Amino acid sequence: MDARMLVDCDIHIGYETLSDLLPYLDPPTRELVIHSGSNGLVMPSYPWNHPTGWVRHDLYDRHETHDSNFTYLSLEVLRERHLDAYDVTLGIVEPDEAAAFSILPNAQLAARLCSAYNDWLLERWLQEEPRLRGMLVVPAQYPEAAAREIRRLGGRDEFVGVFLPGAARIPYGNQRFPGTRVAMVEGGLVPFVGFLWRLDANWKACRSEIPWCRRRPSDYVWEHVRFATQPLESPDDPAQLLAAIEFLRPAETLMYASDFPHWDFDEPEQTLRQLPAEWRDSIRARNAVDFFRLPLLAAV
Amino acid sequence: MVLVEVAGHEVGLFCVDGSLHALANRCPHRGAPLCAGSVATPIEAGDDGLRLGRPHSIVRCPWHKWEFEIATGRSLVDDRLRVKRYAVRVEGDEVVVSNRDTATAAPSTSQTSLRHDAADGHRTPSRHV
Repeated sequence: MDARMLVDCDIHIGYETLSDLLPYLDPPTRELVIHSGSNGLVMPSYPWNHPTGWVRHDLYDRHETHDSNFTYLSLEVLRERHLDAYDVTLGIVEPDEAAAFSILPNAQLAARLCSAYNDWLLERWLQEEPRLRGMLVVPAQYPEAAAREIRRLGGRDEFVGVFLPGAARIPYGNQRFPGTRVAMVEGGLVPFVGFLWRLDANWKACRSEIPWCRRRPSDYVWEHVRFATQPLESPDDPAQLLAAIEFLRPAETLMYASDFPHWDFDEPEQTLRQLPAEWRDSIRARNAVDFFRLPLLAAV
Repeated sequence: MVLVEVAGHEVGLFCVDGSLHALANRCPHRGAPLCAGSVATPIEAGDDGLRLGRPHSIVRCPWHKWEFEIATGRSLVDDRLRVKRYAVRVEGDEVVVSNRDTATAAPSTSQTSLRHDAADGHRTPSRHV
């Protein structure tokens, strides 16, 4: 047992089937969920399917699973196999299938599903387990409704941020909201290094196109962007990873994430052990406490 | 697959083509409980597309889905990576697992045994432990 705080920025919780959301939906939307398609409403999924399954197979009894990419995980299993097993102080809940609401062609339907999911998450998980904090799922294709949803629930302590998927009709964000802070989750770390080097280099040549960008692009990143560690790249020579990501200012910008219960799960202590001791303390909790404005519940 | 304990270590007994194999319940990648994964048939590249390899001959780690050949313990993607193996033999109605890695071929000093009929992994290829 480690007395120090550990924050996991990426725990996935999903409903077993969309019909779990029926009690949280208005009657017309219930009809759509039940009668759409061949056997009820089905979410668009990834074009790629994991060849042997998305989830850790030691967490489920396969006989109980359904014909779905996204398998139901009980609160008991989450507690026993993750929160208790690794002494997780606080875990940030990211959506599973609900991440796909934002790519539905029907924006009104997406907005209603998002609200139902957020209510379900709040009632069934966040209010049941005090170690969990939620990310609001909002319809990215319908900004006005997304803003309404944030006003409706965003003030609650159980929610600490807004989830947006890596797909959108128009790029996210612009200079109208300079205070926005962003956590990049499940992107790994090394890809951002090359991306930021390229932005900094091109800014020197193309500054006149965006004169309001007064500093190097990476300077804005250090202030506004944080990176979740999972999936931590694992080259044969670990020293190569540390050299590659040093530019990201890891002690200030990295936040531990497990991606539990998915197949590329990063176990907490093994992940942290791969990083230098002088980065480790802030990555295990402090950076996430600052970023999500979480309560301090143990030593950091 | 049947999980047994040998001198304090968890060992999975697997049956492939009628032969018994004993592997440590620990994945050499990240230490996951390997035997909670599934026994599977490897998909291989043939001369003319895909073909199935030896039936039920690999175990797939439950955490990260790395695949290991049950008979040798070897990773299918990394020659340097091998699951610890135990010597196993059938004596009458019993399966005897020796508390030593097969790499060190010394006589066994500690043994555990169970009924042979309980060790048939083929009939319960995806049983969870």
